[in-house]
Amino acid sequence: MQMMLESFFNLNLNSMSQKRYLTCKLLTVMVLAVIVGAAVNLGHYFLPLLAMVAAWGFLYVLKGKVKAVLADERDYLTAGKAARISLTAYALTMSLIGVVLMALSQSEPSLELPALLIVYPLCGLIVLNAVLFKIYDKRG
Amino acid sequence: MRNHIREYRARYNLTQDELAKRAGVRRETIVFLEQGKYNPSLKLAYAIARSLKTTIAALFIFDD
Repeated sequence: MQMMLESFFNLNLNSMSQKRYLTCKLLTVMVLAVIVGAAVNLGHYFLPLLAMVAAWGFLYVLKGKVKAVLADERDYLTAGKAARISLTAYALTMSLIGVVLMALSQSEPSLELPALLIVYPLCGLIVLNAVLFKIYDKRG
Repeated sequence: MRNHIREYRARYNLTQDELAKRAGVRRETIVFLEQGKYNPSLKLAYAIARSLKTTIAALFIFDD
């Protein structure tokens, strides 16, 4: 498999630089998107799953071959900040939409289900965030 | 927080990439550190200080 990929893409997978890894990652995602799109269109639901597992395995192997540092403490800090802002923005927007839909459902009962479908997963996400925060806060 | 990373790096004739490799971080992190845009953790400060054969106190200037 590795030899086939190496000869096809003219790559040496044993000397993987950060740039080369990112290129491979991008190519893999593109190929995966094509496979998933085509398979779902054709009604094959097992193929996308198989392709995703194969892509994950391929990228996992490639990542192991990268000698350079792919992410450091500044990346984790930035990711945490981005996640916090994303969660806040998502929670505010969705709760607002949920409340509006709930209010409108008084006159239009069919809006109650979409409102609940928005609000309950949001509550779940907030609870999950709080639980994970507590766990990592205790772990230090 | 200001620092003397650039001066120490020049003293030992190290590139940002080489220092990043020694400290186990990405080159971009060294760039941000030198520009004073990022405050490192104690662990990273120690790794950089050790890579530049100096101490944290000599490398970083803590402004009040």
